[in-house]
This record gives sequence, C-alpha cells and structure tokens, in this order.
Amino acid sequence: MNMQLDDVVKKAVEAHCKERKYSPKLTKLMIDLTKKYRSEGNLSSGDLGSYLKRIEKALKKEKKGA
Amino acid sequence: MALNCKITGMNWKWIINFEDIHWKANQSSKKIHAETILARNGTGKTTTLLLLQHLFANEELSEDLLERVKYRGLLSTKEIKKIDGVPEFSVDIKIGTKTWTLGYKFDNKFSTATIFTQAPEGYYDSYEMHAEFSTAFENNHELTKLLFFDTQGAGSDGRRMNKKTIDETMKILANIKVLDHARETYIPDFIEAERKKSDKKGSETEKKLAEQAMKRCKSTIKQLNEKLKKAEEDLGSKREQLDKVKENIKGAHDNSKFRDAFKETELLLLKARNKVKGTTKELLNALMDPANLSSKLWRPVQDYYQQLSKSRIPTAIASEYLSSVLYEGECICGNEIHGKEEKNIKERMNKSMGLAILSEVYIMKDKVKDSKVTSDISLLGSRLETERTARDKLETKLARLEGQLGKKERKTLDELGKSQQRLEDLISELEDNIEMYSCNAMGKIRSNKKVWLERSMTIGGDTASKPEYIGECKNIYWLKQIKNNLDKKLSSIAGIEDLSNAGEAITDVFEAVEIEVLAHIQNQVITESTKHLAKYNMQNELRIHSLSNGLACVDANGNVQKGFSTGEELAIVFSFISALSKVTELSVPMIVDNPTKGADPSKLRGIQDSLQGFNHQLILFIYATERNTLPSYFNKKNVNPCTLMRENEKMDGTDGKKRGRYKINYDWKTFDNYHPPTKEGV
Repeated sequence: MNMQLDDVVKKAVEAHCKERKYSPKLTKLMIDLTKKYRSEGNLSSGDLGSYLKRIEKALKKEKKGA
Repeated sequence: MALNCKITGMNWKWIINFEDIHWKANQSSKKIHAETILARNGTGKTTTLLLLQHLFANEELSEDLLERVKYRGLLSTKEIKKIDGVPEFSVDIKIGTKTWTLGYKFDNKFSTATIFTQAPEGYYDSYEMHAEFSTAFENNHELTKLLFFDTQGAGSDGRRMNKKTIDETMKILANIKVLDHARETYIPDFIEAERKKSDKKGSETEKKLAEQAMKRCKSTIKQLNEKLKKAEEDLGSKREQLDKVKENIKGAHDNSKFRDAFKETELLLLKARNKVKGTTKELLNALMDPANLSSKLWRPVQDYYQQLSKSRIPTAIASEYLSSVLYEGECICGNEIHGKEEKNIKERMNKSMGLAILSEVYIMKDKVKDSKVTSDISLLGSRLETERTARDKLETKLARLEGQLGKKERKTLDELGKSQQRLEDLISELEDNIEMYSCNAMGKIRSNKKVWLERSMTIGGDTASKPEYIGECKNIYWLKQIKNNLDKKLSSIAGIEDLSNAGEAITDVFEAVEIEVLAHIQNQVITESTKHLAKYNMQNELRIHSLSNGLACVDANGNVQKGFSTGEELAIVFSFISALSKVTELSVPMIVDNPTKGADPSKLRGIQDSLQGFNHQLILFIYATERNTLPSYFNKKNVNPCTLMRENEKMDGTDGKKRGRYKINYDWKTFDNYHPPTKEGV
C-alpha cells in the first residue's frame, strides 16, 4: 500500500464526514469501510450488510440527536 | 501498491512467423535497463505488441488478432508441411523476487486462445497473477496500450491520452477504482436484494409502477452502455482509417513528379493552419473578456459599478452578520434587542445578501473598476482574416498541384479526398453521439435536453417516472439520477428507507474520496512530469498543464498544444508513466514498437532524449533502418542487443536454399551488420 495515498484517502473521508457533521463514531466506520474495500477489492455480502446496518444505526442516532 | 515488475523473457511458439524462440532480457549487460529486439519488417513485432497489450489486461483476442497470430512462416515456403507443436505466446514477468509466466495457448486453427499462468506456486489455466499486478493491469487495456506503445498512432492529437484513459489509469493505480465499483454496483445490488426480501409497506400498484420504471431504466442504461462501447470502438477504427487515408494522400503526393512542390506547400499549409487555429483561439479569449468591448459599451458598466461601490456596497451588510446580532440579543450599541428592534433587523436581513454573494459582489466591482483592455479585437480580427486568406491560397495551390497530375493519379486523390471527407463526417457524428451518451456535466446535459433527454426530464427539471419517458433518455448520467430516485422510492415502499440512506451516505463518501484522490494524483503527476519533461529538452518547452480532461500540454507561451510529434508524444508518455510510477510506487516496463518509424529527421534527437531519459525497463522493437537513424543510441552504453533472423539468412537478408527456423542472436556483431531489405517479407 502507498502510505501517502492512504493518508489522502483518510483525510478525504474525514473532511467529507466533517462537512456532513457526522460523529467520530460514524466517521470511523466510514474510514474502516473505505480501507477494507481498498485492501480487499470487494466485500462479502455479510460484511457489507454488517457495515450498512451499523452505518444505518449511527445515522438514525445522529438524526435523533440533532 | 508498490508493484515492481519487469519482463525477463518472451516466448513465441508456432505463431506469426516464429517457430520456437525464447528471448531473454539482459543478455549483454545486467545493468542496462533498455532492450532492443531487431527483426525485419513484417515478422510480427506489432502483433507481439498487441498480444502483450491483451495478455497483461486479461482480454480476449478478437478474430482479427487471432488471424494475425496464425503461423505462416515456413508453411508459406512449403519448407515444412505442418506446425510442429502447440502454438503459444508467453511472457516471463519478474515481480519482486519471483517469476510468473503468463501466456496464451492457441488451437491449431487459431480460432481460440486460452490464457494460462505458471505461477511460483503452480500452473493455472487462467489469469492468476500476483494480486498487485492484477490490480494494476487486469481489465486495464487503456494502461497496457499506453505502456506498450505503437508509434503508428502517435502524434494524432494526443488521443491516446484522453480523459477516460488518464482517469481510469489513475483510479486503478491509486486503488480507488474499487470504490467506484462499490458505489455503482455492489451497494445498489445489495440494497435491491434486501428490498426483495423485505415486507412491503406501500401499495401493490405503487410498487408495480416503480418496478416497471426501474426495469426500463436499467435496460436503457444497458443499451446505452452497449451503444457507447460500440461508438468508441468505431471511433477508434475510423480514426485509424482516416490516418491511413491521410498517409495515402501524402504517399500519392510524395510519389508524384511534383513531390517537392507538394512537400513545400504541405509544410506551409500546416503552418498556416496552425496560425489560423492559434489566432482564432486568441480572438475567442479576447472576446470573452468584456474589458475588450468598445468603450462605448463597457464604460457605462464601469460607471455603474463605480456608483455601486460608492453608494450601495459600503452600506451592505451580510445577512449572516445580522443573524448573529439577533442571536446574541444585544445590538452593537449595547442596547438589548426587543420586539421592535428584532422586527427591524429581520426586515433588513430579508433585504441583505448572503456573505458568499456579498463577497463575490465586492470582488466583481473591483475587477470591473480595475479592468483594462487586454487585446485589440479589431486588430486580431484583421490578423485572422489575413491568415485565413494565406491558408486558403495554399489550399488552392495544393488543389492546383493535384489538378496538374495525370488522370489516374487525380482519380486516386479524388477518391482519397472523398474517403477523407466521409470519414471526417463519420468521426464527427460518432464524437457527438459519445458525448451525448457519456456527458456528466449537468449544465451541458440541460442545454441539450431536447435531443438528449426528451421527456425523461420533466418540465420542472425533475426525473421522469413513466417507463416510456425513461426509455427516451440518451444520456447515461441522467438515467443514473432517475435510477437513484427510483431506488429511493422502492426502498421507501419496501420499508428499508434507512438502509437505503446508509447506502447513499457511503456512496457520497466514496465519491468524495475518488474526487479528492484523483485531484491529488493529478497535481503530483503534473509536478513530477514537469521535472521529467525537462530532461527531454523539448524544443518548445512543452509541459503537462492539466490532467482533468485528459492530458493537456502547453508550450512556453502557455498555448495549449493538441497534436504532438512522435518524439513529443513519446516524451510525454514516458514522463507521465515515470511520474505516475513514482506517485503510485510502481515500476512497470514500457515497450515501444518502431520508435522512429516515419519520424521527421529533425525529431530524432527528441526521440533519442526520450528513450535515454526513461528509467524503468524499456523494450524496443525495431527494424534495421531504425538502428541507423539513432546511431548514438543503439550502442553498448544504452541497450542490450538482440537480432531475430532465420538460420540460413545472410546479413543482407538473402536466404540460403533452405531458410531454416528463426533464431536469436544477442551479439553486437550481428546486430550492427544485419541489413535485410526494407520491404515486408520473412
């Protein structure tokens, strides 16, 4: 993996999440998911489903808190 | 990614003209990274290059290519009656410290080609390369075409380095293409599967209508993608045909009795056309700057902005400021804000501009106030007129020269001229269609709404939902917007709206990452490539200016240069690959077929500089006369030599009674002294 590019990717996710006012928890989920896709090429249906559910839950929680 | 790969061998078995030969790299020196394979014209160098482009990308071979690969060699002279083994082409690729052999096996009729891999851990009847190699090359034909470079199409408006090639190459090498796949396919497919599983909430009719619309939307996207692919293929082949026609026209001129007059006129015409192009652009830029309008028109605008500056702008307050005063509950004078004051502030807020607009107005008024005439439009206009007249005169001169040729030559040129016109019309039509299918700039899509979208965009500018209206859409980007809305609707009907929102949130993140990474790589590559290009000693100080819309170069005066000479294009591709290799930590080989073919003698120095400046592995396929065009490059200091010739072939290319099989020589004596005839033949 190219460290410099990995850093650009991470910063891009963080900047986007900050703009959307996502919580650190949701931001971390997005960073992990991006990293996982880039290192594994594709995710199993189970893995993708698990991330989607966690992100769905975090989004709902943040909507309620707003 | 950090991929470091090198081609260490190539093997031809009963294909093209070769019986069974194995080439190995670095036979003369281990330190030199450039290899030269010399063979006579028509032996199969270009076919080998095409095979390599397909092999690295794991692409199927077309019927045309299979026909080219078919073994002819000694069968054509009846020296042998049938081929003596399984036809095969393979490459040994060293990745890190291990070697993989990747190849095609052909059936004896050359109707099919099966890919195989001999990996360090075993043999596979499939493409089983090292993961990082696959990520870089598999399904990336655009990259392999760039790396395995056929100079035949070089210099043709730099079309080899178009937006699609550049973006796709950068996305794949930066390992973000996978995010593109995820948001375009994996996530929507997952949500659709969940929708099918879930208990519905909406009515049956509502669901049925949305599903019909979705079905139509998907089938229209599929159809348009097929049409786009076909149009792109047709465009490539028509452009090749056009290049050939132009070459034939030039050939007809060169073979005529007016050869010198044609050459002189063509050269002058090329210069005249470039001048017209340059001045037209200059005039367009001047016209786009309102400061160049006549003072009668522009002065009142300046006066207005000056008035605005004096009387209106200084008193303007951004609505955000008033809003924060209101929020604090205390005025700047220190008094508390109550009902009446609040009402006044709110009224003022309604009349105020937002901060973003206000700052734009401030900038604009200064720009207008300080604007100065940059160009004399009427002078530019008359210059363009003079240049156009000069160009037209040269075109007439060329037509007159053609008119003085014999009847047969005139007829040939007339037919070629008609073919050129027909092909240019077809190319223009294909380019228009490709833009219609693939444009993703919403402003442009809206301005072409009538033809591109028809009723798939409602009067209010929204996405249509009736299947028959969706079917009228001819733009893929708009269809994707329709699909997104239908997705949301169906998710809502299925009661999985929140899951769909999560999918959308991920999609937005991935899209933002792709944009950011692409911009980062573009900047890095431009900076790096400028350093590399400096080595090539380009005559007009050409440098890469932008990569956002394919590769665009500018000269020392900042003029965008579209077409390149072979040497320039080689230098640009070398610089681009070198820079991209550094940014993505990749070291890949480049192969150039006939690096000096058709090159103007004045450009040879540039080609030599390009070859010498490339620091990764470089393999050159050349024929004998090319060796003489770059005598100070093809020597022990720069390259490892290799000559492919038949067993009983003499140094002047004449055969013995029996021609014998192809063999490989790695010695300098053979390389320097082999002078076969230039005409095609094996």
